[in-house]
Amino acid sequence: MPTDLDRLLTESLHERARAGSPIDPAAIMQVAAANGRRIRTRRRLATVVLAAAAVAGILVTGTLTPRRSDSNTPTPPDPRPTGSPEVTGNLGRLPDAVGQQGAGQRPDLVGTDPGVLHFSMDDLATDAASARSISKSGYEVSSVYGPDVRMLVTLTHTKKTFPLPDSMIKDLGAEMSEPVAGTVDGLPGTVSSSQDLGDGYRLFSVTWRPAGDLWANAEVQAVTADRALELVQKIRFDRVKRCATPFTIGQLPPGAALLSCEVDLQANRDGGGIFMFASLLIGDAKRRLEITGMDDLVNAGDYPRHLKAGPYRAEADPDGKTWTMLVKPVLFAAITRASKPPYTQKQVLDVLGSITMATGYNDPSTW
Amino acid sequence: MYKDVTFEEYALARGAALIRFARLLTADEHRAEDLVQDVLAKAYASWRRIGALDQPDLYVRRMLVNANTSWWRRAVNREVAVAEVGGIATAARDSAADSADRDELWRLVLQLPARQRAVIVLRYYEDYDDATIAELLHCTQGTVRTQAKRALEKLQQLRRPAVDAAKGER
Repeated sequence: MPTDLDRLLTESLHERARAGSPIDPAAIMQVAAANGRRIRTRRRLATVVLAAAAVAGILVTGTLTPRRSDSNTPTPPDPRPTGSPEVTGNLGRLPDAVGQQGAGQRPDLVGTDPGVLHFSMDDLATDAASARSISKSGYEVSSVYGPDVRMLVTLTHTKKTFPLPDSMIKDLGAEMSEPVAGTVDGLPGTVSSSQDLGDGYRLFSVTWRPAGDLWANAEVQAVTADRALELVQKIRFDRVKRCATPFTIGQLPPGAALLSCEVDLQANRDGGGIFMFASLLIGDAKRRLEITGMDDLVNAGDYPRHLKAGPYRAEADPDGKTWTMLVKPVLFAAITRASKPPYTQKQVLDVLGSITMATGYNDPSTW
Repeated sequence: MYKDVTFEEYALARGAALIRFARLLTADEHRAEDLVQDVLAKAYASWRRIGALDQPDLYVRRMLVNANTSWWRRAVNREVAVAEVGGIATAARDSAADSADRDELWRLVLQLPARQRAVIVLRYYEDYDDATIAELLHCTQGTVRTQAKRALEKLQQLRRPAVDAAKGER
């Protein structure tokens, strides 16, 4: 039989749960999904969800002299463990930055323009299921994930940048061997490797200087060192890609600039397109505003909004830090990052209101 | 319930309920929201697996309880005061004695250790039976009953002086 304490507890807890600010589930979902997408992308790169195969790796010892990519005797692909995910083949490519020189010619430009990646992994993404590109002050990152290749490449001007927070080494907690000297495309470098990750693959970390004072690091999962180095040599330093999104921001707050750009593409989603997620960080010396856009596959963001943002409608989250806006099919969120004072609601709405969509939502060549 | 729904459908349907649940676990409106967003982000990353469970909602709630307990342990280790009533605004008191009792009881609930508070919230707010709470907390029903008994005894013990004082004022 319920006691007086039981009844009071029930009433008290229900009363407290109802207290507090109103809750906007769409904003919560949007921020959680954005963060979750990052976690999942890292995890996809880090852990291969494949059945284990009894494929032995070759210890990296001594000097590695990989075959060049134009060799007449190409390295056969890894024996693929069973249970590999379906090859998709319809992943789009970010558009070229026409007229710009790549890291091979202008290593000094790497990490100086958040809208550009001074290298290309297009040749690795032929059957990739997903690809992610990040360009921000100081470094550029690109990764691809697919049944035949899982690789994360970072270009930077200081070796101290490695490994980055997205590192597979960190995510896996992989114990890497001491680096040994090797050559990558004829250039001196180092290679370290992990033990079998449990699925027949090992993690290789290859570091070299592709041009000038530029450092490159590739973390790649492969069965053999030869295969890892073969994949690494498919990185093109003579191509430049734009960190493009299917939307553009037409108006920045006074003094603000684009600080970083991230875009995730994914192939073969149920009912979805190629664009998955993008994040544009803008700001100045003191303030930061992150604009995220995600493909609103289930019309999660389709609800009334009360604020005017240019031609669109936006809604403020009760947390005072997040605004959401739906421009079908992209659900946007504007998130003020820790800064004092943060951007005002008017400034945020001006930015959101200036967004325009590309004509070819699922055609990166039009972005 | 919520088996085989998309993450977006789940988060939209249950986001508000999770926040309310987290408010009771954390006693802090902002930390509750952060906690839910962290847990949902992790759930998103594993949704193919979680969404296929018979009761994904129960699983996400378990993640919330565990995340809060971990935070609470870290906070205690850092000697951070956690008993303070944080961001949840105290509702305006009415003249009814019950309201004062509810306020007082809430303050006492906040003094319970995180695990005991979780049991109390799951039993009296979520109205889960001991078997469900045990499943959610990954423990035996006996442990749930023991935790609940200790929590209720402590609440009675703490509440008695407050009730006596209130009677003295009347």
